[in-house]
Amino acid sequence: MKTIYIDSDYKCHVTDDGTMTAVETDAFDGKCNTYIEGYRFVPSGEVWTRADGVEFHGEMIAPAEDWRELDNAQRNYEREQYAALTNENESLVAENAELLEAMAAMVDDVYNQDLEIMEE
Amino acid sequence: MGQAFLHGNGGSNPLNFKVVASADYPDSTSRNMIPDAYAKTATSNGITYTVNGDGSITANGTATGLSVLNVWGNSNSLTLPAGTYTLSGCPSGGAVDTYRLCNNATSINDTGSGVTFTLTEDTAISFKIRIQSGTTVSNLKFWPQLEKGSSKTSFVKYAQKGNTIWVKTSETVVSWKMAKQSSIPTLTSVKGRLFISYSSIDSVTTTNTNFDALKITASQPNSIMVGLNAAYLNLDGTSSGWKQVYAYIYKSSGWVQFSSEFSATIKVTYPSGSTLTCSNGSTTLTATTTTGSYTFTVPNSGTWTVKAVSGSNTASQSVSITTSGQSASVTLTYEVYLYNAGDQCTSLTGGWSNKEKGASYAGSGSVTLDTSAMIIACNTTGSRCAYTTKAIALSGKTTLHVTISSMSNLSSTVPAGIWVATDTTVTSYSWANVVAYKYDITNTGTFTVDVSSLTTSCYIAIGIDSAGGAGSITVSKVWLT
Repeated sequence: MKTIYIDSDYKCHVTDDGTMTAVETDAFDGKCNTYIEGYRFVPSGEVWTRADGVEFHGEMIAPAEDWRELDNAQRNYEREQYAALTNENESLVAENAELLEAMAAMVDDVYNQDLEIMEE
Repeated sequence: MGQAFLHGNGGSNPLNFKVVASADYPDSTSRNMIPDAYAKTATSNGITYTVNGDGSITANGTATGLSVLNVWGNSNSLTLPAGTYTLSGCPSGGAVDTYRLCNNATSINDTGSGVTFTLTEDTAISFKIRIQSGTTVSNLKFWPQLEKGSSKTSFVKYAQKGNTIWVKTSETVVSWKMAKQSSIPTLTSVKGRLFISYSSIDSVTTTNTNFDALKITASQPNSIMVGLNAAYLNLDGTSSGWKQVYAYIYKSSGWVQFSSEFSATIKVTYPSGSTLTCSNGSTTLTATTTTGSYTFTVPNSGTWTVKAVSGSNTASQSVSITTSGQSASVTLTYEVYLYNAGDQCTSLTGGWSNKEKGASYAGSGSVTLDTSAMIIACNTTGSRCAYTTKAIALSGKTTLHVTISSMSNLSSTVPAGIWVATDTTVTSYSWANVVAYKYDITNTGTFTVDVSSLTTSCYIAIGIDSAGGAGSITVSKVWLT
């Protein structure tokens, strides 16, 4: 569930400029800001009248900008998210390897120390 | 007294016009082109000029300065077509330093014998009697006459023929009428002047032009045919080029500027290649292009219907025009049915398929496609939807319409919805990859989804789900515009 903000033309925004209405919806879960701000959200019980006079009753969501461009923005966003996660994962793997090496060295040290004690 | 009232479409201000038949100007049945009614009895610098009514003008007195009487026109307010003319009528014995009949520039002078001159192009001109300072005249009678050609002939009085002069305009004149009016209307000029004088007018100035008794005798597209009844038409400047004037039309309350006549526009976006019309029942306007965008200028208020036709496709919409200056916009698109009272429109949709709206409710409802309607039902805590087997191309379409003609047990916990999705995957509770939807339908009616920004192909799904209680909807029509 996400909180978005709609202006007087029912266009979506991710931040409120002080004049907007907050709406909670799961329609944009996982969507990037560009995608969300390219949409129109008409809440239940309200009516949006398009420039040509056609009325749309809520609850309705529909792209207010060319959906292909919004979809491209979303795909880029998802690629960036994936790349960030991959980098994070690689860093964690590297960190893990260092820890393993350190642990192995510690085990060796303890073993050697024990041997010395036993030989004494 | 007849008055000419031009009724135009009000599309331009100033009004563009030009004289087409200027070669026949001026218009007289006699040889004499100078309208004797133009000159008025007057006194100028000690000389009294008396207009006698027979075409002659008598001068008396001693000029205390340069004395001038306008015989025809003032300050080159006339336009004579190119040609050869002869000016005559000055009493014999005249001279440039005593008295003469001449043009405004004093380059054409008749001092008693007449003078022939040639204009190589349409020329702004006027004619006057000119008596130099200190000259004394007694009952000196002038008989002004201008005639075509190089021969001076005996004086004849000007006779207005009542012929026609064509004034061509780039504006569409949609009607004209005659009416009565007691006062003389005024026509204020700005760029160039439509200069019309009449014998009953005592004075005419170049900044405040009066006209009266014009008679419109015919009309044709893009032209105004002005017939001169008891008036004559003078055009200032060259007659060959386009001129501009502020024109006025007569309304019941008086004369109003041409541009303030009713005018409103309806901009129509429509499928290119279609024939487009705009009609209020009595007047039908037809678009002159088929490019897909056209603006009509309508001359009246009321309800206008714009209609696009291409083969068997028809789309129309009514537009209410209430005020002059109003601009309305309309988009016309042809209806494309995806389902129509039992017709699954298979060639486009591939037929309508049946599946759960959300995977968690698999098998808990039904879709019935009978001969007249599509019935979608869900059981308690179930869901069901019907969807197009093929993805539908939405490019060029603006609105998805769905008519639900009957319902059973719809409520906020058992609502219906319309989904537009890029594939037919369902998640646990709903369709995935939804790009537009209309939800929370709890009544019958026609419901719409804005698809104007979708240019890809999508599946259309109509469904119902329940958080408690069974329900059903009957869908009779699904279409795109």
